[in-house]
Amino acid sequence: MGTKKTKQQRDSIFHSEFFPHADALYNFAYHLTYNEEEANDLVQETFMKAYRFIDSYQEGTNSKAWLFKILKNAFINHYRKRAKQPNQVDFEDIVSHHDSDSEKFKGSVDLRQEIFQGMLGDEISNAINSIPVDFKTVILLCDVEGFTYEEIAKIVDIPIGTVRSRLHRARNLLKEKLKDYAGTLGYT
Amino acid sequence: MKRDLKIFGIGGHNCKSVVEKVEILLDGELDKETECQLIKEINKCPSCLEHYAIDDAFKKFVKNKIDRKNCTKDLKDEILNKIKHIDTESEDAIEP
Repeated sequence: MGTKKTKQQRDSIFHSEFFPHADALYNFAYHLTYNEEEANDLVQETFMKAYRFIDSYQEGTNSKAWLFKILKNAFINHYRKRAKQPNQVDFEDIVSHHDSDSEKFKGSVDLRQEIFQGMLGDEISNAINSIPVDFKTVILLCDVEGFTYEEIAKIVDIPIGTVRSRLHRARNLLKEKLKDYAGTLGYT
Repeated sequence: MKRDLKIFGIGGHNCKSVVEKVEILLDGELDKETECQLIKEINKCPSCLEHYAIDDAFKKFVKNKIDRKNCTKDLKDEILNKIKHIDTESEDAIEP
């Protein structure tokens, strides 16, 4: 926990280091939930928490990764709560724990480069949304937001080796989905 | 943290060993020396080169084609308005 900051210092940090990441946070929240209302709530909650606990943030450090970690934790808490309610999404369906995360490299899905031509944003978004959230999360953090393995490890709370193996499995899953899409759309 | 990996065994090119590292290379997670060594190996082998091209295209495809959503102006205004009224003195000090 850092030293207590004045309201002016808090506002200055908030506006210069936190708020510029609003669009990236919203994009991450939207792709985690695929629901605009839930994405709005997650982003609001993230900024409220960040502001309230700004004393534990060290000025000039990696604010984007710090905010993404808050959002990821808020997302998990939301789904834990929802899982306890009847007729809601089953947490196990959303946050799947894959024991095989640490498994060794198993090769890649056979895919031709031409498969990507003609595919639209909607198709890739649908394919990403159809893979388990643990996998979707690492793809969004690495390929969409450009975080390093070390940053992803901190955001998701997993070892760097698991980031690497999870990314590999996530990409293979996504390639399989895209291959299926391409087949149904006649791209192959 | 850059990953310094021993990528090649004694005795030359090994496709499996090269292909295993292509994603790490494209993610920018290899140190400079290993990166140069791996690129040389990729260029030696048409099969590895094809694998690299596909993974490269795939990574760019995900980044560029995903339907990017931005925070609306209304949501930004709402957040800023709430921030203005937060009384940090009365908050419990709990880590986020």
